[in-house]
Amino acid sequence: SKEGDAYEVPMAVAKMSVLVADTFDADEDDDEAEPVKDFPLPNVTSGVLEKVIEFCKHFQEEPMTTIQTPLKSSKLEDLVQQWYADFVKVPKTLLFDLVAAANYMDIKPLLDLTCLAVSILIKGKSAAELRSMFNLSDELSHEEEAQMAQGNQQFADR
Amino acid sequence: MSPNGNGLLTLPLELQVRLLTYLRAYDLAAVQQVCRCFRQPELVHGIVAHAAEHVYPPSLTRGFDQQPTQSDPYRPLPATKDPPVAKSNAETDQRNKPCYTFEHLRNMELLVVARVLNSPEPSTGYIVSKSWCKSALKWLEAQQEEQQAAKTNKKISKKKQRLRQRRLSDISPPWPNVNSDLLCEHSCLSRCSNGKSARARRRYVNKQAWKILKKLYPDSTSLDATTGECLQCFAESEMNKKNQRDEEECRKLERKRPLSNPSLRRLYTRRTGVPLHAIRRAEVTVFSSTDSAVATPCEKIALATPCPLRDGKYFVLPRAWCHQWRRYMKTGEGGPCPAPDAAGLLCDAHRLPLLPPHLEAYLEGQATELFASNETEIMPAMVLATPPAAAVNGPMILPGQGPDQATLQAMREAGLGEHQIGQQLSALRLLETQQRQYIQQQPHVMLDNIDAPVARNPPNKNELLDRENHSVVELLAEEEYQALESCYKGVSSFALRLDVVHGVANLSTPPCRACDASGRASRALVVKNRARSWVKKSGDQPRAPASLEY
Repeated sequence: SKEGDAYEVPMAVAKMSVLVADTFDADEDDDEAEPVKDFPLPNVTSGVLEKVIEFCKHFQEEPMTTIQTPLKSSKLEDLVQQWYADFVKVPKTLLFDLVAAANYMDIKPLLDLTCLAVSILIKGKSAAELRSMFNLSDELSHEEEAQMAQGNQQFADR
Repeated sequence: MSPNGNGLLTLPLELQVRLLTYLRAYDLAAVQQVCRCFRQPELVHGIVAHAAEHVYPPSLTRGFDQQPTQSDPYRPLPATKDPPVAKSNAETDQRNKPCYTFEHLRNMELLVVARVLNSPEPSTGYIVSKSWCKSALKWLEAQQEEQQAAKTNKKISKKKQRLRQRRLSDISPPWPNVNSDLLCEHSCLSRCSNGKSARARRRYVNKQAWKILKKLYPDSTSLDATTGECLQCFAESEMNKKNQRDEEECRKLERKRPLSNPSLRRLYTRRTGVPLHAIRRAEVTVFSSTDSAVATPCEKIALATPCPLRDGKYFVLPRAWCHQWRRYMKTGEGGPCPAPDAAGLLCDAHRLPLLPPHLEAYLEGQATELFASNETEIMPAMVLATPPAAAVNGPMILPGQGPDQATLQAMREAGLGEHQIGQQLSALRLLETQQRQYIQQQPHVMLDNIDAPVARNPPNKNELLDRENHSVVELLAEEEYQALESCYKGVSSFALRLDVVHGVANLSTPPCRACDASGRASRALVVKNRARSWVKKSGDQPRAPASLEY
């Protein structure tokens, strides 16, 4: 991890990451005798990596159902299994770190799940609520905001 | 890894696109207002293109970015050989790539819904509310009109504006749950009274269409046609019906409980208005029996009297009340019957009983039945053109009265024994019965000889009774009236008491002889100006018989 902590995981779990799998497949030709292989992940913190490993291990036991878009429900429990719904109920900072880590390590199921969790957070919120939720500064001018609000009115379908 | 916006803005563009493709146009419009970053053309284009290619079936999104050229923009466009614009342009020519906005995404969603709702209805599949479909299509049409109007920027007159606003005033966005109006309290498909009602409220869509609708309206409740209507509602409905039946049965039993009394049952079933067990069997006692000693001394005395009732106490009640009571006992119509009340039999002037003519005639033996009209009794005698010889030569017996003393004496003096006299009188009764039947079977032939208008159109028996009596009454035996009274404990009842002693009937209170008990005089006075129409009406359309069918 970024902090230098080492985590030992089975090869099948590690190879859920396309990044890791591609690297190991390339290394197999060079050194087939080495039973344990190290893979540095300097962009991923220990806390995030632990969560990623937890996800991958559980995925081996119970694969996650495919997420269909657009979402048929605004509840995570209706879209994926309960364990995965509980897995992403974490602070927003950690959630975005998981998105970045899943993208970096190229773990598609994890990326789908974390993106879905962020979408659920955004769904049904107004612009002000979103700004407050994500601590975003109001960069739009008043004119721009008025223009956007007018445009948004057209989308108000419910 | 979490600098700005908790890390949302630090994510790469492709990740942001991936993340936002889970959302619909409504949510994206809000996101767009949050920050300039979410207004990047690449981001918006990526989201819209992804939705057009991967989220919805391409057949439903075709033409979403084109200007509407037809009057009905939601009509599915004809299939074209060209691939979808978004796909082909995105892959081939980067410079010609159209610049999508979230409005395109919104159009796409509207188009998809309209095309799904306009698709042919399959025979089965998923159930969708027809009212929702109607509302959604109306609203989509209005949205499209507004877009067209905004694009053309054409000024319209105030009158047109007013008409348009009026037309759009009842249009509201489709509600989030497509089937909310089809759901019962158990969140299942509510029951419809019949198939026609169900067809009026529901329509089917295929599985793919339902999936799209469900995606666009995620709060919708899925109603599979194979699942059927709510079983709980069905069970509750059946239970309610059963409870109603049970309650009705209980009410019926409660209502008919008085009929367990034999006296009341007798009163309920009889049609003659007289307790049959109280009628003297004079003829049977005297003529069918060879031993005259069978008749009691009291009956022997009564033979000489015209009253057909045995000695005892009787009560007189209006037939209207008896009808009401019987109707309530039979069907429960009209609600619980009030306590017996014969106040209508008293005259208004003196508050004394009025003896109805038909009762008087019956008690005096002038009529065989209590409900016999004077006219109907007399009529057969009038129309007997050629009476049978035996009837002419034989002794005349008033109906129901038995042989008078003179006839009996004459027979005995002629040397006839009791048995022979009985045979003679039986033969006379048989002749009389045959004659009555003959007259009833051929009323026109017999009545043609009579010029009176009444005879040409013989009025019905009840009508005659009503016409001749101020009120028609029934006779109740003492035990019957007591049984009736026991049903109305705590409620005062009133009936005229009639005592028959030695064959002579007398009311407990002397009847009023000053007033007209028939009601003819009062009717003539009251309706004298309308008497003609009344007579005409009553003659043309005889009133329905008041007697009940048992």
